[in-house]
Amino acid sequence: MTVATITFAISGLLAGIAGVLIAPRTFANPYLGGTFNTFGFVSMMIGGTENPAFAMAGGVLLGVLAEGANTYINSQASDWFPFVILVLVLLVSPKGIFSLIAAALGQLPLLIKQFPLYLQRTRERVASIERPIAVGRADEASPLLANPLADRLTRYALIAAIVIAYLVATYLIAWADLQGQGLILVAAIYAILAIYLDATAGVLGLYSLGVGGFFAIGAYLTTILSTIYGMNLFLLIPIVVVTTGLLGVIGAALLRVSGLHFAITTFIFTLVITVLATDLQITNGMQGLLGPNFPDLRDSLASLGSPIVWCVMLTLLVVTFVVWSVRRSLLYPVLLAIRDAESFAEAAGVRPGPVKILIFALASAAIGFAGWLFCFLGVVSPSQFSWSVSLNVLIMILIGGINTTPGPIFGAAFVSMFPVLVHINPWLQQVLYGVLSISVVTIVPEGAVGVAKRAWARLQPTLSRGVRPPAALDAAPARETEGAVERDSLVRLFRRRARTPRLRRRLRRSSNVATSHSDMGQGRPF
Amino acid sequence: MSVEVAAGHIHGLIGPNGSGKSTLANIIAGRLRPTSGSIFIKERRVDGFGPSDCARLGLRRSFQAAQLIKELTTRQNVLVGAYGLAANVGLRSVVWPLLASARRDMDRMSDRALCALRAVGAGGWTDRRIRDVPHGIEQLTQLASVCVASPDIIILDEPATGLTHREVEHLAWILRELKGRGLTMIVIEHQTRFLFPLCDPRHCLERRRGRADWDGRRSALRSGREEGVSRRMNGVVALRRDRSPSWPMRRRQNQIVAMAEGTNRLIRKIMARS
Repeated sequence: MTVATITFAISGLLAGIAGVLIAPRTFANPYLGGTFNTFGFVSMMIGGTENPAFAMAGGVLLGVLAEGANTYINSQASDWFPFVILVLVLLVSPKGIFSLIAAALGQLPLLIKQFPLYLQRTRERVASIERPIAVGRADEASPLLANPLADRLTRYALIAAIVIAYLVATYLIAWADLQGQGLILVAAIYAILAIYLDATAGVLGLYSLGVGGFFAIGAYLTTILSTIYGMNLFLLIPIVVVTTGLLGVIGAALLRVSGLHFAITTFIFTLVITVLATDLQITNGMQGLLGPNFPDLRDSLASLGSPIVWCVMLTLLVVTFVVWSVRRSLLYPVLLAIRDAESFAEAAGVRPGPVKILIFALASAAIGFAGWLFCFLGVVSPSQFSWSVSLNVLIMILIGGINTTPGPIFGAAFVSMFPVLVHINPWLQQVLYGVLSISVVTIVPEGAVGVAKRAWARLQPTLSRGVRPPAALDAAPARETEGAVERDSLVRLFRRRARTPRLRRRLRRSSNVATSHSDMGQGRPF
Repeated sequence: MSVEVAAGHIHGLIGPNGSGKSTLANIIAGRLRPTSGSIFIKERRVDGFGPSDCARLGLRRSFQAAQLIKELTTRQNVLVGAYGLAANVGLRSVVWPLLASARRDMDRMSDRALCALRAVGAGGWTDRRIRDVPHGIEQLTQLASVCVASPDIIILDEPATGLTHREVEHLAWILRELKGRGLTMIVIEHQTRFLFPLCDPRHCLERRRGRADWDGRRSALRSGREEGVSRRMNGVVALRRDRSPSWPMRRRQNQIVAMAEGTNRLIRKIMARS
C-alpha cells in the first residue's frame, strides 16, 4: 500500500516535471491530457514494461516518429499516428519491441530449433472429444432437477406478461410527444450499448473503452453512405454490422492482451476515431452531419405510431433476450471461467482466445448496429462519440450492476435521464453526476441490481447463509453403506456407450485389484 | 528424465518445493512447451499442443491453487468441466430457453455434474457458491470437474492440500475407486502418508538414462549426475532440486516419450533415449 502510494507520487512528480518542460512548446487546453496519455502509454508499449530504460527509449523513438509524421505526412498526423504505431507494436509483440528483442537474443537458438516443430504442431488440432460418452437420459434426471410442469407454466406466463407489457409500453411511447420519445430512444440506444459492454466486460472481463469508436463508425458510415451516396438504409445494416464486426475481430485478434492494456488501447481507438471525425472533410468537422430520415411504414401499419420507436425498442428487446438466454445456457459458466480462471477453462478443453475474439466482434457489430439506429435521431457529430461516451457506458453498467441482465438497462436509463430529471445549473449538475458515479462505483461496486439481489437474499434466510449441510463429511460416522451413493454416482458417470470385449475384460481385472484393496480394509470411504 | 505411465494405475510424483513437479505436470498437460524431448498421449505426439487440445484427448488436470469461479455454485463450476459433451453450445446459447434440445442437454449436464459431485463426496454442497465453501470442498469440486467428462488420464496437482485427515482418507478412497474404473492417474503430492499406499508397486514410473531440460529458466528438472531424480520408490518418482543452474541448450539429445496405445493394450509409456 505504502509502496504503491510512493510509486504513484513519484510518477506524478515526473509527469509534473514533464508538464513544465512541455509548456513552452504548446498551448494549454483541457483536452491536452488525452493526447499525452496516449503518448505515454504508446511509448511504454513500444519499449516494454520490463525495464525503465526500454520505456525511455520507446518514448524517444515515438517522439522522433511523431515529429517526422507531422512534417512529412500531415500537420495533424501526430493525433492518430501513435495509434498506428501501437497497433503495429501489438501485432508484433504485446510485451513491447525492446523487451521482445532482449528476450529474443536470449532465446534465439531455442526459437530457431523449436520453430519447425511449432509450425507442425499448430497445424494439427484435436477437433472434439474423441470417445463418445453415454450421457444419462433426461428421464433419469434426479428429482432435484425435475422441473414440474406447473412451475414451468407459471414461468412462461410471467415471461409472456413481461413481453406484452413491454410491447404495450412501446405502443404508448410510439404515440408520445417528440421530446419524451427522444429521451426514451436515447436511453434505449445507450441501454443496447451498455448491454453489449456488459457482455464483454462483465461476462468475459474485457473492459473495452472502444464503445464510442464503434458507435461512431456505425453512425457515420450510415449517414455518409445514405445521404451522400444515396444507398438504401436497409442494405446498409449488413454493411455496417459486418464492418464493425470485422474491426472487432481485427482489434481483439491483434491485441491478444487483457486487462489494462486492452482498456487503454480501446480508449485510444475511440480518441483516434473522434479525431478523424473532426479532421476529415467528409464528416463535416465539428458541425457534423444531419442523419437520414427513417422510412415510413406502410399505411396498414401506420396506426402503430412512430416506426423508429418500434425499431429501437424491438432491438432492445431482442438484445436483452439474447443476453438473458446466454446467461441461462451451458455457455455461461464457461464464459465466466474464461474471465476468472482461464487455465481452468483451458484444462476443460475450451480455447479462450477464439471465444474472446468472437464475443468481442459480436459486441462490436451490435454496437455498430446501435450506431445505425442512432443516426436517425438527428445530427451526428464528433462530440456525441467522444471517449466520455465510452466512459459513461462503463459507468452505466457499474451503476446498474455489472454482470446482470437488468443492470445495464437500469444504469442506461438513469445516466441518460439524469440531466433531465435533475434540473439545476449545468455546471453543478456535472459535478453532482461525477460525485454520484464515483461514490456508487467505490461504495457499492456491485451496483443497484447487486444491492437488490443482496436485499432479496437477506429476506430468504435459509438460502445464502454459509451453514454447513447436515450430512457433513466430518460428522458422519463410518458405516459400511456410506460409500453407496458415491459408488453409484461413479458408475453412472463412467458408463460408456460401446466397449470392446477386450477392454471390458481389462477393466474388470483392474477393478478386481481395487476390490482386493478394499478387502484389506482400505476400501471403506470414510 | 523419462517417465513411463501405465494405464489404469496411480502414479506418484514427489519432491521438494521447486523441484519441478508442477512443471512436469504443466508440460504433460500442454501448458508449458518442452524445450526438448517429446510427449506422447495414447500414441499421439502432443508436445506443442495447447492445454485445450490435451483436454480433448481425454487428459484432465486439477490445479494446486484451486482455479474456480467464485460467484458460481459448485455445480456450475463442474459444468465447465462438462464443456464439449453437449454439441454446439455456443451457437444454441443465443436462443437457449426456446430450444427443447437445450433444456434436455441442460438437464443431462446438471445431472452429470450432480453425479460427479456426489461421487467425490461433495453431494451436499451442490447449490452453494464457491465463495461460501471451505477449502476442502473447493478441492473436491476441482476433482468433480475433472471426473465429469469421464477422462482417461488425470493429473492431480496436490489434491490433498488443506484437507482434514478425514477428507484425505475420503480422497484416497475416491482415487482408488477411479482407478477401479480404469483411469490413469498422476498424483503430485507432499503428503507421502497419503500417496505411498495409493501407488501401485508393479507399475512404477520408470527411468532410463537421460536427463531433463524442460524450460531453461523456470525448471527444476535440470540435472547433473542423478538426472534430477533423487530416487524412485514403488510407483513414486521423487524429484530433486538442482542447485547449479545450467544453460538450457545442452547438446545431449533427450526424448521424453509418453506412449499410450489406444484401446487395445491400454498401456501408456513415457520413455526416453539419451
